Amino acid sequence: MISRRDALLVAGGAAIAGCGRLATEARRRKPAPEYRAKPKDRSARMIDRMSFGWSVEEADRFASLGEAEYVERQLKADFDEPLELTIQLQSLDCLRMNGFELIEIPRGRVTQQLQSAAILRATYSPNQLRERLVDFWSNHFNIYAGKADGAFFKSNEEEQIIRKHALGKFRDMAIAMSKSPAMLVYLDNNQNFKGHPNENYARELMELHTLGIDGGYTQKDIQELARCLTGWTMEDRSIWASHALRARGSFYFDKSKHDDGAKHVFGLDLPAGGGIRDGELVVEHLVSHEEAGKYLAKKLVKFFTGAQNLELEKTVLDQFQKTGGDIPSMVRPIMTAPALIEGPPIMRRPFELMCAALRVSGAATDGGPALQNHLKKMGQPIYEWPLPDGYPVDQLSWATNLLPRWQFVYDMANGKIPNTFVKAPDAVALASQLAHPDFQYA
Amino acid sequence: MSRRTALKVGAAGLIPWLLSGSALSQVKLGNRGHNLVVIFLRGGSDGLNMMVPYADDNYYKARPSVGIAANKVEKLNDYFGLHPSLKPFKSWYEKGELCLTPAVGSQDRTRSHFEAMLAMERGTATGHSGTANGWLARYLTMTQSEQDGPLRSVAWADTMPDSLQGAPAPLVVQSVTDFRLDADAEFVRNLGTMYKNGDDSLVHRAGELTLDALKKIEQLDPKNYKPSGGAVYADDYLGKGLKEVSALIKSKLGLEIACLETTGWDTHFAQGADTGIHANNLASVANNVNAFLNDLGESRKETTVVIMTEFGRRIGENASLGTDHGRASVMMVFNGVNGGKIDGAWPGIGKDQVDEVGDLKPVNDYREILTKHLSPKMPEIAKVWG
Repeated sequence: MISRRDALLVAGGAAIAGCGRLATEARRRKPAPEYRAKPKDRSARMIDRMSFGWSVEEADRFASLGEAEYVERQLKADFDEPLELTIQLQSLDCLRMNGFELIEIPRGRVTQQLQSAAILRATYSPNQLRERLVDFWSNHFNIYAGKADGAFFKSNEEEQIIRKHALGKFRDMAIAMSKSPAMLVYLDNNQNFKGHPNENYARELMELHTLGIDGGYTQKDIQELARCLTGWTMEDRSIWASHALRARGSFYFDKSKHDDGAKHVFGLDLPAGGGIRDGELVVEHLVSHEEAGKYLAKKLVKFFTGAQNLELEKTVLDQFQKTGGDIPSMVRPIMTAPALIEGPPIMRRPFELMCAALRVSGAATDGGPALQNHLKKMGQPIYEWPLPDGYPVDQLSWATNLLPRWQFVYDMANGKIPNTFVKAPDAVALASQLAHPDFQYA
Repeated sequence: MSRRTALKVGAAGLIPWLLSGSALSQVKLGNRGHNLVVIFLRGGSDGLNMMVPYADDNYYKARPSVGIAANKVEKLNDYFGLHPSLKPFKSWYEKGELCLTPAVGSQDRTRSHFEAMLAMERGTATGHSGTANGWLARYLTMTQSEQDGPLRSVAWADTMPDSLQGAPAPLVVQSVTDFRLDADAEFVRNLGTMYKNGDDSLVHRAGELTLDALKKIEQLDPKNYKPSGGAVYADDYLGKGLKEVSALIKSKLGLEIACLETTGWDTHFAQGADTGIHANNLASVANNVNAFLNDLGESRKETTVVIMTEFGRRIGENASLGTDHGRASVMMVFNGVNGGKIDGAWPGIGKDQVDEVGDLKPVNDYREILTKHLSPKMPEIAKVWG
């Protein structure tokens, strides 16, 4: 029998979901934006490289502010979010509820909602640079939503760690990540106990999250770091303790499982008896280490300019060191460098291609399952890359899987994707434009 | 004929599957009369639980919970036995069609998935020690000819595997059955104009390849494909993929090299022993490869199947009933050389025999093992390694 509370939840959920549909409908009923061809000028190049793709609206925003101010505003991410977007996002359970509450919802639906939120924001938020960086960091700290409770905890991680710090301090993001339930589950640190430590998270923390493969650490450092992180785990069920809820998935330090002997990790000497501070000290050491700065500089420069650029990487590294890893300070020089628009073409990954197509054609969409099915066929069902390195960024990985891209743009332009609406005067012309080799690149 | 069906061809153009079992199995396959199927187990499959050194006390001492009991293994000789999930492979071993090599690895010492995979897919000593394109790509380039069709090398994946990166015409598909374009003729004509315009960029070449492959695959009718030899594929990625590989091989549409990959092998936690995560993954490989070989029938002898992984796992289990990254694992090759044999050297897992971290030593370099198995049919393979 359905309880009163459940009945209210269902009714409330339906009402809220209804608002989301209304918001999609409202957007659909707006007059189509005036058709304007993308100019081949500096502003259009900059928009394509900074954002999820050029649109009439973005071009107007750029033009009204001017280049310098546009870049600064994007670095601040202080544009108001459109009302329709806000309503659409509020209709998603994954953005209203905590991880331990989401567990009552089928896992598949949670992942769907996570994808909807990402598609909607990347398509409609005026704070485009922030959305690009959320995508960057979400891949940098990749988790696979299909593993264990990952999907339930990913939402909080994405909101309260990645999105919160995407334009904040790298150290705050990485430190928070080391205690994030989604990451604890994904890289097994919740199962890292003294005696025979589980090295999974310790390795990726150095290799992928901070120092990079060339960061100078050794297998011995990984094993010592794993010892530091023994006992870093989480509640596997919700309990009441000292008059407070300790929810399933809350981080806690299990002293009884911690290896409290002396350790030596990557130049740090940790005397015996350090407890939780062992791991915290090493994480703090790693996130502000010069090698981390070099690794992040290289990755960010490649992400936005499509190529290595030693001079620019040096500038970004300097900012990392000067500002204590302030992300806007690191990203600013890339946005203002000639390399941003002069670098080689960057092949759009399927998620970027999808959002670029929606943006340029002024589509109204709910970002829902029908659209996500195309994302999956194109090879990038976000949050579902199983390995910890995140989706690849190089064109060799993506260029040979064009067929599902063609099907997506054709279906979108012809109104064949449920809950995605495009007002194209000539569907074949639009589809052909979006299937064009040039449109596969930013 | 409606515009919508412009891309589909009439029934007369389709491969007649009902005849294929007997008639097509007699003929030579692929462009060079030989096919290669590479199955990559991403994440580092635990070789010590694939070929279990069941007669070695060191094994059981190191693995009190993830070790496979001696009475559970499929004994190959008086030292090694197969994981019970790999039972279907025992008969291929006994028939002399499967060669097993333990302690296979690269020179990579980082124990990073990505470095170790790069090494093995680029065909180099370590991840960044040689050229940036793949070992299969180099083979395909060396042996390129005018007769090569768009289906010469196909990967069943979301993204291009590194082993094929840089190949002349590498196609990536999630599924051959779904490899079709439901669109009207004008759009398809536009694609031809946009992609076949003589531009030699990567994406132009990929577009041209895709349009050519569409034409080929529309003859295939993969939905109506019926496996032979009583083969039953599982309804999982590997089962669907191998079934399509078999259909493509039998249809003689020019497939020569097929790449498949599976994940879920990174068993740091709750690996299981004769049952559990690793056992289930192995069962999928064993049952689907077994089905594939039965489906191909006699023509399987012209198809070499390689099952490889970037590294094995630590000999000693960790405190979370799993195993951490090691260096060496098992390579399994069907219809290469030395079928029915356990090949290569075995360094042992005793205290004085393991490396400084406690890992099985990769005494058999993966490049040497691949050369040994593939060069009789693919002589250029000896020259691809960087």
